[in-house]
Order: sequence, then structure tokens, then C-alpha cells
Amino acid sequence: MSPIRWRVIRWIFLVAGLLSLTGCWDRRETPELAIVGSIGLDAGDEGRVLVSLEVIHADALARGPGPVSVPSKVVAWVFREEGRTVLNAIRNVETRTSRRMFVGQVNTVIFGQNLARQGIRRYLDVFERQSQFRRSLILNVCDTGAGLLQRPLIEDIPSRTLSGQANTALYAGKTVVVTLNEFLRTLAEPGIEPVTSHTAGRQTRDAMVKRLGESVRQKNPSVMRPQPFTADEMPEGELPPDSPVLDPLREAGTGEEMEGITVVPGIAVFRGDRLVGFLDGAEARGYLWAAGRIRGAILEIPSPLPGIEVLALEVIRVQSSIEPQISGQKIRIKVTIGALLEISEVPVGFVMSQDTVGRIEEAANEFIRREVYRTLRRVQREYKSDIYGFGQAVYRKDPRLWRRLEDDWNRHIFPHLEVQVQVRSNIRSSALLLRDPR
Amino acid sequence: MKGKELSPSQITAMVALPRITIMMMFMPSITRGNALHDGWLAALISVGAGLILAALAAGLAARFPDDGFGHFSKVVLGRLLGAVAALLLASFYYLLVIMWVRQLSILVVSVILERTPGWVVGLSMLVAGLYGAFLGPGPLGRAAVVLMLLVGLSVVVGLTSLHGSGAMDFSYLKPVLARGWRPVMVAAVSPTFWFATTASTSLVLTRFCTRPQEVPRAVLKGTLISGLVLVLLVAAAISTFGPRKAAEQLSPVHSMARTVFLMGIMERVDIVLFTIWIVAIAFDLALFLFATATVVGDALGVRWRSVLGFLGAGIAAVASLQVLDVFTLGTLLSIPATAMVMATVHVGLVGIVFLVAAIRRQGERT
Repeated sequence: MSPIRWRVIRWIFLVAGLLSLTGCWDRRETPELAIVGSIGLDAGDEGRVLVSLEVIHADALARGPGPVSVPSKVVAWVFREEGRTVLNAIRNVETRTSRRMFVGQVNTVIFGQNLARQGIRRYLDVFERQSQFRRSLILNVCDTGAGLLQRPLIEDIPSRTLSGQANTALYAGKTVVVTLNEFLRTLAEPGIEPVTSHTAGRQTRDAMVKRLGESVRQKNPSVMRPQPFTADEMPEGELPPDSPVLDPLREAGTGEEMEGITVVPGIAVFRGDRLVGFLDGAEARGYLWAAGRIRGAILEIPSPLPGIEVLALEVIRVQSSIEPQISGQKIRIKVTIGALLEISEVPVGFVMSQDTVGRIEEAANEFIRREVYRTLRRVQREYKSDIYGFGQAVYRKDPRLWRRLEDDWNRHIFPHLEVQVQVRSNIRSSALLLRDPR
Repeated sequence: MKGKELSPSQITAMVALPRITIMMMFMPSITRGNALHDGWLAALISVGAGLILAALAAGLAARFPDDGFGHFSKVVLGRLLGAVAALLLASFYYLLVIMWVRQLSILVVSVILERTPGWVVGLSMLVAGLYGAFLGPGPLGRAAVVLMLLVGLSVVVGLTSLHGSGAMDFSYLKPVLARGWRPVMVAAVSPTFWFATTASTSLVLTRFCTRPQEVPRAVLKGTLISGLVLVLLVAAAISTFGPRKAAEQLSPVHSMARTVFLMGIMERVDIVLFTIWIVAIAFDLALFLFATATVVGDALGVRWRSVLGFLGAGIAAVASLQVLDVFTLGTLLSIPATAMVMATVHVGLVGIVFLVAAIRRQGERT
């Protein structure tokens, strides 16, 4: 090809390429968008869904060099709208906002209890189908209403608080973090039922500590003692009734009690896509042992050692396996749990030796076994939902047998399933202390 | 030597790259079937079978180191039959390009640019593809190596991030052969022929290679690399979505990218990965347009660049027809239809030429 002709062809391609780079029909600039951080879904009137959108006030969060402006006290708005579908409710919100809702940054979806008990599959479709939503967003069930959770704590915005809480609560060993992807996967697979984390608005004994000079709504003035104050002037015998020492749960002298915050007390249990109940505290842990989903926890176990009432063990790592044992028509499930623990807090009188470690391991085994059985009994009898995946284990071992059992599994087989729990604890260390610090 | 512009390593990249990028759109043929948990086994089997078909194509090409398929098919089958065989192969490549343009524009407007008309996406890809094809084998080879590095990086980063996000549960890769061999073998048919399709480009590329005797090895290496990626991606899709949800995904690779979340660092990694893959698909278009043009040019005795102009105009016209959606989508998602088309080309067409060439050679020896 001659150089001139070749040059002409190149120019044609260049111009054609430039024409296609002028922009697209989907162009949206950041100032035109309202960034949604989390979405709450509650049961609305007449079968509709009440959608709460937490729209982040980006200007209020802006940090960086430049003149310091007074930060806005409003960090987010919660827009609420009802609709027969989630997407229509979101669009309806846009009738009163100057910006379009951008849902690409949604990291948490909260379902109110009422709606979750009716079934959530139809509402999950939009999050799965619309490519703007991430499949990694975290699902929660709130035992009151989803819209009540919009309160930031430590973090700047409510949604970041919620997603952060879900992750930190994992290390308390009382909940799970379940993403949209995992929920949908579990829902679709045979022999296992989904769970999500359980969140709730609760009053606590926590207090906000404010800067010196900031006004504090102090309901209990007795916590402030007049100066001068010396130890020599302390009255002997009983302390006066207004002494702060007598009631450590009253407001801190420098702050005020918080009215109510979001907590993550446990797990929400589903059968299919319907919420059937909650497992909180030790009950949640009873499930987590068997499912091998504990990231960390502190166990207060009754001490097997004389003169010591209780021991605190920290859970470092847990592994579990579920093995179905099938003989003829009889199915037994064997759950084996391996826990790596550390002695983290003991009262006086503790002496570390091979014998004491062995006895503590035995006590820990029994403690864990009891927790597992207690939860298992409730899940089998009350919830009738195989959240452990025992059915899935049967399916994987014998798919043909599973095909015969599948329809009756949750209703008739799982509630009466014989489960044998074997726990093997291993105490790794006692934080480098052989004796208690007397 | 004039026209010898490709090194064997570039041919490896040119064979591997289209097969890997196809997975973004065509993996459903494995995960959608009844193999369920055993889909990764189907992928593994398809790699083995694909290697055999790749060896067939590369072996045939190596026998004619200085000729393209359009030339040597006439030598082997005779003037008329050879030209028909060459035009059939070219039609197959051309069909693939049309399907690619159409399917890619549907995919892009479905997941990213929802309000942008599909023809804008298709036309942009077509312009990029045609320009790449016009540049010829040398620039295509160099682009393949660079893109291979980018796509390889995107696969490694994507899978590592996915695993780091805690989204994968490898227990879903069991049971092995719960439903017997049949669904696994059926699921393996379509990916096998995709391996054969990309390997068959060696029938066109060998004559541009500086060391044609090394082409078979380069083709097998490319097939093996892309096979490894296929097995990894299928296993990742099954363990991320579970076999039943994986079967619902039209583009499991895109959905996997949507699942990645690493502590807020890689929040929208899907967009980055998607961009890399789209650029790589533009390369695929360029390669197959180039292959089509050279085969037609050789068969009809005209210059391949002249053919390319007609092909480009033709694609724009054909790909803009909405009626094709029924055909393209049906073919891409239907295992038997895809398998039939590809088996006809690879076993029927290339196989016949290979067989006749082998018989003739045997005859000459005796």
C-alpha cells in the first residue's frame, strides 16, 4: 500500500475513533449525584415496601487543605418512600431531590423484622440484577425497623458505622457477616438455610465524652465533687450515698449518657427467604462453633481448679467439620470442632502446669459442647431451619439419597436429627505468665 | 524475510488472548449446563480435548510454513474445493466477529452504559478492531504480548482479591461426578471448540512467523495457558456463586468482579477489570478480522487489506440488525448449537484438509 493511501486510511480511523470518544449517554458528573450509603427496607402499607435511603452529605465530610469551614452538623439525610418495588421507591425519592440517587457505594442493606418475616427474596432481586450494586454489600436484619438504624457512632456516617460494626462484632464471637452474594448462594443451594447478622437499636450504659468547655447534659450532679479534695478528707467507714463509687454506671463526669445506639447482638435465622427468629449472645456462638465461623471470642468458663470460680479464655482460631454418617435409612451427623485457645484472664491462685492446662481444656470442651447443643436444640425444635448445612453435607456425600430426603428435610428430618458433637480444645499459652500476679 | 514479523511467543499470546477474553462472555456454556459442582471438571476435560484439536490445526499449519490456509487448502483439495473450504473458514471467523460485536455491545449496555445505544459501543469496537487489523501481523503480535500481560494481571489480581474478600467457598467444588459423566462431557463440548477456534488462527499466522517450525509448540503453550485460566475461572465462579447461582449468570466473570471488596480499597474493581477486558476484546476483533481478510484474500487471489474494507462495511450493516440477537444469543448460550457450528468447522473442515494433506504426503512417500 502506498504511503499516501496508508496515511489517508489512518486519518479516517483516527477521526472515526475520535467521534466515538466524545462521551456517552450515561455520563454523570459527581456533583449531579446523591451518594447512597445504606438502604433500609421495611414493610409498608398494603404490601408495599418502605425504602429508607441514607444519602451521604459529602460536603460535610470533606477534609483537606484550604480554608477551614464550619463543618455541617448534618452528615446524611434519610429519604423514605414507599413503592411496590424497591427501584420504583428509589425513583420516587428523586422527585424531591436535586440530584440523582447513586447506589454504587451502598455497603449495607438492612431489613426490618416485619418485612424479613414475610420473605426477602423478591426484594433482593434488584440488588443482584442492577449492576450498580455490589454483590459484596452486607445484609442485616433489624429486630425493630430498618429505618431506625441511621445513627453514626465513631465513624462519620451511619452506613460506615453499620458496616464497621458488623466486622468488629465478628471478633466478639456473636455474629456473622453475610454478604448479598453469600446469602443468595446459600438460598439457592440445597440442604442449607441462610443467616444474616442481627442488628438492633438499644439503650446502653455508654457515654459521650465532650471537650472541656462544651456543655454537658449532666443528670447526676453528685459525680462532681468540690475542690479541694484530698485523700485525708475521705470519710471513714461507709461512703456517702451520692458517691460515684457506689454507682459506676451513672454518667461520666466529663460526658453524658448516649440515648440509644445500634448494636449487633447476634444472628438472624432464616428458613428459605423468611426470617424465623434470632440467636443472640451465647446462642449465636453455639451456632458459630458448629459452623466454624468464629473469628474470636472471650469464653468465661467455670473453672475446674479449686478456689477459682471462673476463667477467661480467648478464642484464637476455630475449625469445624460436619460429617454425615449414613447407615441404611439412619443418618447421624458428627460435628468435630477444633478450638485454639489462650488463657487471657484468671483470678488469683492460678498456677500454670501441664495438669491444670489439661483440666482447663477438658472444661473448655464441655463448655463449648453445651453451647453447641443448647443452640442446636432450639434451632431444631423451634426454628426447624438447617442453618448448619447438615443437609448439604448429606447431599455432598450421597446426592441420590439427598434427592429422596430433600422435600422433608427441614420439616421432618432435621428437627429429629441425631447430632454428635466432638470438641477438641488446645490451649496455646497463658500470655507468657506461669503464675497469677499476686 | 519480508512479511515474517511474528515471534513464536507472540503467537502464543495471540492464541491465548482471545480464548481468555471470550470467557467473559462465553463461560456460561460450561456453568449453565447440568454439570453443576463438576463444571470445573468439564473445563479440565475441554482443555485436554482442546489441546488435541489445537495440535491438529497447528500441525497442519506447520506443514505449509510459507502459505496461509487460503493457499494450501487449494493445494491439498484442489482449486475449487480448496477455495470453498477457505471461504467456509473465513465465513466462520466473520460470523464470530459479528457475534462478538453484537454480544459485547449487549453486555456493555446491560451492565455499564445502560442508556447508551448498543450501536455506539459496537461501532467503536469495530473501528478499533478494523484499525488493528489494517496494521497487520507485526503490530497485532506486539499488542497481543502487552495485552496478555494486562489480562494476566487482571486475572491474578481479580482472583486474589476475590479470595481475599472471603467470597469463595471451595467446598462447592464437591461433589465430583454426582450426576455421572454425561453432563460433564456435554458441558465440555463447547469450550473444547473454543480452544480449537483460537488455535486455528495458526492456520493464518504461521506464514508470518519468523520460526514456523516452533509454531505448534507456541500454539499448544497458548492453549494450555488459556486452559489454565478457564479452569481457574470456572472453579472460582462455582465456589463464589455456588453451582446453581453460577448457572444463572450470563457473565460470571463480571459478576465475580462485582463481588470483590477489600476493605474499601478495591470497591469498584469490576470497572477496571471490565475496561482491560474490553480493550482485549477489541484485539480479538482485530485478529479475527485480519484472519478473515487473509483467508479470503488468499482464496480469491486479492490483497487482504482490500478485503478488509469490504468486511468492515459488511459487519457494520449486519451487526446493526436486531434480528440477529435471536441467532447470536441462542447460539452462544445453547451448548448443542455452539458445539455443532464449531465441530463442523474444526473437525469437518480443518480435519478434512489435515486428513487429505496427510494422505497425499503418505502417497508421495510411497
